[in-house]
Amino acid sequence: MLTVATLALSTLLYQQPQRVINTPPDAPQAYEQSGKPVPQATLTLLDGKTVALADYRGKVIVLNFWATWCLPCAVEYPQMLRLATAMPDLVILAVSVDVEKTAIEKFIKRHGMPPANFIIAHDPEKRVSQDIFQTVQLPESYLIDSAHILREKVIGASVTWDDAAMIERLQEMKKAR
Amino acid sequence: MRIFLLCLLLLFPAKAFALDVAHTGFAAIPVLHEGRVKPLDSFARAMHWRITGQEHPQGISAEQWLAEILFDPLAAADKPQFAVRHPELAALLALPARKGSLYSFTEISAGLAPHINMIGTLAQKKELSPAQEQLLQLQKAVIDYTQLMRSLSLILPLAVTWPDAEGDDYLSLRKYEEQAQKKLDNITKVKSEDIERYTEDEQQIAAFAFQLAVIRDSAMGNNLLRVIPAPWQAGEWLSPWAIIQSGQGSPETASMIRDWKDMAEAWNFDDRETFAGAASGFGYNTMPENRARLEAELTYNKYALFSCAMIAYIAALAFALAAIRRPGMTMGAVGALCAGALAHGAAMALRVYILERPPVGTLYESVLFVALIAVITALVAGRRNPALLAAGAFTGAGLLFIAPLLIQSGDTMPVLVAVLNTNFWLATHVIIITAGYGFSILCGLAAHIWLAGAAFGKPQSSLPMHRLALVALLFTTVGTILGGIWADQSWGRFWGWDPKENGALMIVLWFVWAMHGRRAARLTPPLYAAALAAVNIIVALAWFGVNLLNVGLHSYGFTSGIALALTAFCLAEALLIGGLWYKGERRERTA
Repeated sequence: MLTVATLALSTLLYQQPQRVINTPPDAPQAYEQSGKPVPQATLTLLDGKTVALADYRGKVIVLNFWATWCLPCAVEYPQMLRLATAMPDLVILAVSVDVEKTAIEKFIKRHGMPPANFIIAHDPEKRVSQDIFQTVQLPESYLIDSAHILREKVIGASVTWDDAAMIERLQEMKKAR
Repeated sequence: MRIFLLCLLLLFPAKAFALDVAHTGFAAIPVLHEGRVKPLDSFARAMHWRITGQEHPQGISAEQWLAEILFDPLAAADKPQFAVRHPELAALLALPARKGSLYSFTEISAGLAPHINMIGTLAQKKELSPAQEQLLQLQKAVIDYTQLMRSLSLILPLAVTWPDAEGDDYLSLRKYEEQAQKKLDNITKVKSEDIERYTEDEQQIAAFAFQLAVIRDSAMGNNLLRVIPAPWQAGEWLSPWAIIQSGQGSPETASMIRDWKDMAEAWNFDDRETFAGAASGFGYNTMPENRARLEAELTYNKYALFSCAMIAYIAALAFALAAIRRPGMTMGAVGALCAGALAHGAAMALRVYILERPPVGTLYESVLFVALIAVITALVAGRRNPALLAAGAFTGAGLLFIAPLLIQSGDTMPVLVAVLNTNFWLATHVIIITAGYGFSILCGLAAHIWLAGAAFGKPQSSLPMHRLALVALLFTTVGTILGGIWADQSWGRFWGWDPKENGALMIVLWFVWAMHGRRAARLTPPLYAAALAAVNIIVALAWFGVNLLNVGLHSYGFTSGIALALTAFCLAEALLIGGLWYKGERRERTA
């Protein structure tokens, strides 16, 4: 009788919904799937004017953090120029963390002037890059959909910005509400 | 190595007091450790056990101990925490003789530094002397302690800052690293690296750049304090340093690291209110869906229910022994045993809830479960029999005393190895076989009492010894067969003469032999009782003994360090049973 009772209890326990033991929460996964709203941030442009991320609501944004002395960033720059040309309704916000503004201006002259939807900002005190987006290593980029939700983070120069797959990913983000 | 460590510690200013972190929410902060998300309190207890070999810190809570290491590494480095009791090891590390044999991190790391290469060689060896084993353990403890001390070095205030800088920690100051490096490059172009030629300002710039480089380099691979869910890597948790180093940062992680920074600042200014605000705000928010489980684990840690149960069992044993002469005390024994079983059962239930699996998955857990089975069986089968109540209380208290000695990694709730991670077989085979162990032990003890009664002329005819043997046989047989089915599913064969399988079969065969001997009148009553009493030896060998062999597929149960105790137990039992049987047999013949 005892054995039968134990077996019955065991079966009952087995019938409970099985979960992996103390799985770390699925919040991070949810973060990637459903995303989090973009925090408020104001960027200073090279001419001293300021823009807020909220100004671009309704558009897909590539928020790129870079510096002139960062070699992988220099590799990414021409790809991003081509991406901006291929997707005129995309906004690329390239935030440089260089200390000297002149270094950025020299870099642009050497590597090509950006189109209108490729906006270069300057964050020498790293108030946006580090304090808000916690970008410490370069380059890093956030993909923000048209509903202003952080969708993905690209760490390092690990993607080709102007290839078909990336363009398709960004096109997909336009559909977000 | 030594100079590097001292440099690193000197970068952090010393603090004269320690903020009391009790009831601030610090203990409840979730952390991923050894594959499981647990409250920081459990992490602190496990780390304390791993580093010091002691279950609890002396005079303070585990969370306080951890907080002092995290927020005030300079003070923690000088606290005597590492026990070096082996005289040969103390001599090797040039440690002064001291009462208690406890030494600080500074003393131990200085002692270990000249022997790093030798320790590396030892780690490759299989056969080690006790002193060498302790040396390796000490080295591991120092590595863990170092990781803990550096866990928050990115947000702790630094001694050398940058003019007009906002903030005085690594994360704030690294913003000026590029400028400092440019200036330092210009200085070294003119004055090379001869610091004697530098002006005071130039020395300050060099010290600043050196400080940042030291802190960054010393934090490479620092990922012990995994308190932040990695936003871009599902299921992973990382330490603050690992978040920064792996590019896993996000607005959310920035906010969490700010909370840790607030805690560090509050600690520095002894501001308990701000500390509590940051700790509690941070705590459960990172995993709201597991909040109830975290709270259950904190409750489990707080009330030490197994210790309460052990005390109740000891009281029950005293009542039961007294009740043998004065039957009026039987109710006291039943009451104390019930109270113990309630505390014991509550603790087991909490473990089931926290771990979301059946209660038996490790050797430690099997001991807890067997103890509970023995106690409940004694209550059910012997509520009017003080001798059986005493046997149940003795088993409960004894096993709960032994259990902590079997904790392997400091955490009493480790994640199970893959082969065990199946709720169905844990709930069937493991529970039934360990319940069988519990019935067997109680049966063995009942047989001891019967033998003692026979030897000293006070027969215990009311003892349900034979019925307990039948139940034990049933459970061990069913458990062994279920184990075979599980082995067939996991390893592709029903039976492989694995030591653990042989151990389980040994118990079954022993019971079968004894019962057939009794049935066929080949065993006299004292010899039958002696055979049942000897089941305790068989169970001990099957339960713990086979784990010492370190062969077979049940590698998750391998144990070391209990061989001597097990041999002593078996010899003592053999002598006791032999003596009682001889005396009982003689008395029976005389009668």
